[in-house]
Amino acid sequence: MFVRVESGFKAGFSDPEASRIHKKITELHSGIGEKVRWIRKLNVAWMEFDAPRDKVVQAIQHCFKNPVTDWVFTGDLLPSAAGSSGTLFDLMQDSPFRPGIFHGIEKRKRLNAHDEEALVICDAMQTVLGRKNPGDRVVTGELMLVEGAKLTQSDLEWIARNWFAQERLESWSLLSEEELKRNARFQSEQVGKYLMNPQQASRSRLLQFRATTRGNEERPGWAGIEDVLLQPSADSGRASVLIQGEEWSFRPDIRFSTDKLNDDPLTRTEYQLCRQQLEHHCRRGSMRFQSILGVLPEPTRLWRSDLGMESPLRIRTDFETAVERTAIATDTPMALMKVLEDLNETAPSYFWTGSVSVLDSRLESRGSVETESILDLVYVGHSDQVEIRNLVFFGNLKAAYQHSILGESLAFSVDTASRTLLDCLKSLPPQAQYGFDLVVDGVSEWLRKHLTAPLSLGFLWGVIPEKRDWLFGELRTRGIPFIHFGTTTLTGDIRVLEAGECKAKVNIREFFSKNKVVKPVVDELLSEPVHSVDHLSAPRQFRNRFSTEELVLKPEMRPTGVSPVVIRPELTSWSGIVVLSDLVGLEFNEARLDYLLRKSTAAGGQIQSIQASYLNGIKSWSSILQKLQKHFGISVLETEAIRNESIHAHWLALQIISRISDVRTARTEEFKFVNDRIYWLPGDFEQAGTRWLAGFEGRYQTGLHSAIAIESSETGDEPAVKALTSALLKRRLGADVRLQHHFPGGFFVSVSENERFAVEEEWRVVGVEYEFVGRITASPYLVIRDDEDRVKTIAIEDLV
Amino acid sequence: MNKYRALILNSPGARGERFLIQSLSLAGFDPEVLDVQGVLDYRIDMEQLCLKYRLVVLPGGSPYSSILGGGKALALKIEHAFRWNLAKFAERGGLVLGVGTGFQTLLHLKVFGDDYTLRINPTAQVQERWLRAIPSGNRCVWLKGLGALDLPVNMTDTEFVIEPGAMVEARGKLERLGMACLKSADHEQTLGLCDLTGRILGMQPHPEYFLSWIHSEDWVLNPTRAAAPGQGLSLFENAAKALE
Repeated sequence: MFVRVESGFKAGFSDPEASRIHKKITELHSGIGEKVRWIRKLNVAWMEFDAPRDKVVQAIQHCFKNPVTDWVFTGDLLPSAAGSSGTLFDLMQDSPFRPGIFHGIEKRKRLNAHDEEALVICDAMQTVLGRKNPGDRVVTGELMLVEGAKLTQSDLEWIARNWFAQERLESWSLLSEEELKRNARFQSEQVGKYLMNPQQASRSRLLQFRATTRGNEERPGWAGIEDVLLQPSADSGRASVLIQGEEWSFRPDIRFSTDKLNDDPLTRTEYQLCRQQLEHHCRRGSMRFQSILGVLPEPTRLWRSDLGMESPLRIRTDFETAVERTAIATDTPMALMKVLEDLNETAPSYFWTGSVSVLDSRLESRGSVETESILDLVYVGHSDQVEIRNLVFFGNLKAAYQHSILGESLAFSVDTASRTLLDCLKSLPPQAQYGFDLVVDGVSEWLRKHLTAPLSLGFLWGVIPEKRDWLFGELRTRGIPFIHFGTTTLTGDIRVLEAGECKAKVNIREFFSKNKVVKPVVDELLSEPVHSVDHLSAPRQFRNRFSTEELVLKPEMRPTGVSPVVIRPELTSWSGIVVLSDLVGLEFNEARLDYLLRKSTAAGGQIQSIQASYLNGIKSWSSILQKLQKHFGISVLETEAIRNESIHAHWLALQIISRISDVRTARTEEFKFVNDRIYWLPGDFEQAGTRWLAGFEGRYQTGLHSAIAIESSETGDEPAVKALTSALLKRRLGADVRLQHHFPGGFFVSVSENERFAVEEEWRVVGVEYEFVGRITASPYLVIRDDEDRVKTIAIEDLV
Repeated sequence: MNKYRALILNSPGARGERFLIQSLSLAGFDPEVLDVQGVLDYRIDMEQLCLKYRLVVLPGGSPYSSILGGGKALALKIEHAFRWNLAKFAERGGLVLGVGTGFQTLLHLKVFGDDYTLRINPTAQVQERWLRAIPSGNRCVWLKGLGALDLPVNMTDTEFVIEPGAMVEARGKLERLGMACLKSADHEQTLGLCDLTGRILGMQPHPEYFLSWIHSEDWVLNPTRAAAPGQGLSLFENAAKALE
């Protein structure tokens, strides 16, 4: 049963510990200290014991009840242990400022944090209960009862954050007076929430994150401008697949280092290589990196140098040390992705490293635009002054600007903040000095107003026509309003066009001679400090080098086989990349590549590019990769092709890089929950199922609990069974499936019963083919039924 | 002369067992330290306890990090896991001493009744000082014939509290029966209690920390007394005499 127990001093006794907290708060922040008029501290324990109610009650009485000084609050479990009402109201009566305004700050140990107190309480309860059950769980925390009429929520948050809770180990929440007086928090469901096992908790956290993200994605209300955008004259850009926060780019690099490694077998070789690689990127204008890939021998294998001396160096361990040292030296987050066993005992050791970097788009992409081309004139931003205070909008605008520059779609950009449209037109750069047309259809009112009235935060952009549709799609996707109100011309006139007719015309020389040309102010907007730390301009300030666990959302996958790693390069954005690395030999074929691509897609990535590095010849791989590039438009970058005669092997290091709009929505390849439904989605690269899984279409991808790629095969159901068993292995779950036909690749996905209707509906709408295969079960057996109802059972426990 | 076996019941977080070993050895006991798990492993039940040992000491410190209250977790172990009844042990001729948090353990075991406890002092900090304790009454065999004792105290829970609802009755019981056997110099504060047999003593000060005059904070002022035994030792000598 689930029990919550709160214990604290009786109303008649002072609370020295709480007084000490009050004193400390006053020392740290006298303003808040004065607002706090009375304070009490209670110890809280959330417990689950598999025992009869009466025994648990008895145990609580023995363990928690000190009848002389303490009250114990348990909801209605032990009414006699507390005051007259059995709620915190009894304790509040002790406050000198009655009735007063009370607040509660509750903290509890995080699920994965070491909780000594919980261990002792659990042990004590088990001692009294007279038996030990591995399922017994206790989480402890504290509840601070504060009285203060002038206390605001931010004050309480300050107390919680700065004094009361240690946020790395404890989570905290605020409780209102009503909640404190009621006993709802003692209900089993409430208590059970805190005692979930870590897997469940992480799932629930993920869902919470998603909920917050949905909130952020809400478009600000710009009704007025949206009407304009809906006019038929507005451009119809195709729906963009890029969703949010694409201001960073990546530049992977795969390096083969056998020779260098042979030069110096010590750790410093790898360290120097990492350093060199990072510095190499620095020279090319890159700003930040994630060093990713290490393809290394087994750690237990001895390294043999060219000199014939066997060295007992464990290269993998050394490499990890080197990565760590490089991370510290260069202040760069690192993620070691994959370690492969070197099967060829006679060959020297080798490794590849790769990195993903953020480019300084402003440095690299400017100046490539022709000045004489005809450009579209677009105003990007809000007309509403209020909306510009929205930081989400500001961030989006900045991201859109950087992305547009990166996409080479802008010829010029003029900051319009607090300037009239006339001023902006006067300050147009040389590209517009040969004349321009203002097309007032649908936007005449806006033009009339802002020719004299100042514009709010935004840009006046000269957009290259070829990139116009792409750019407009980008802006729409980011929810940024824009008005396309004209084009540059080579007529030498400024013309106002309505319904295709010229309504007014002014010679541009006259226009500029009458009005003094203002020097254009470009990019002034971006110099404003939107974020407190600008990582792009201050890479050395980036202090997140040890947060690999955060960057690599699936750390358990790192040391094993071919598994994608999800990385979040920008801390201010949740968008990220999915990197899948593999080292393949001569057996590499299209089916294998297809499988790797699907693995990347299963994780939620939209495949962008493939980096390849060869050893001793390209062999037949090149044609496979070229085919990929030709048919699906995935760029394939062959960085180096090294020939080393001393190594009698042919290897291909592959790095598949995909983008993911939100790293929190990344999926793992394991079945998680009992009773989830398993579906099969066909998985050819251009099929709707693949597009949906990659997030190109639809929005219920978050409803999936997992997605597993199935190896391609011509006949037999071994790949399907293999995929199912590997997905069941991690949590030792079972499944009851019906495999009625051959599964040529594709995916298995698991969906909860509650979400299946929404997901299936979306599949139907989007055109995704799907087939219900079976359900996940708690008993660790994979029961496979074929089309003739023959049953085959695989014991997952045996595989473990 | 046969030495009496004494059990020092150690637990995670308890302190001072080395001083207790020294003091018991000096007083003529054969001390043995067992931790909680050891007691369970050796299956020392009530019968075994009475047969093997003549004295049980509960040391101070903060057993089990004083979670659930000082000495509470240890008391639960003694009561529910070992199933020892220390009052019966005393009735059968044994002696029990609880010092510091060990005193709290005895209070949680209710050997002195269930109206008494120790609670945190108003500063909420560890009290680390020397104080003068005056033995009171003649019930306690541990304090027989002793005068004022200067002993160190090292605790957070130093405030002796009597159940407010039964204040008069409970206080009267202590005074009438001579259970409040150790008081502060101003007789305001109760520093120690003994049970009705006088063989179980719980006290806040630590006699084991004052075995020699060099342990005293002002021994440098009286260097000639450096070799003299400390006042704490006399309690253990009394215990040895009581068992003879």
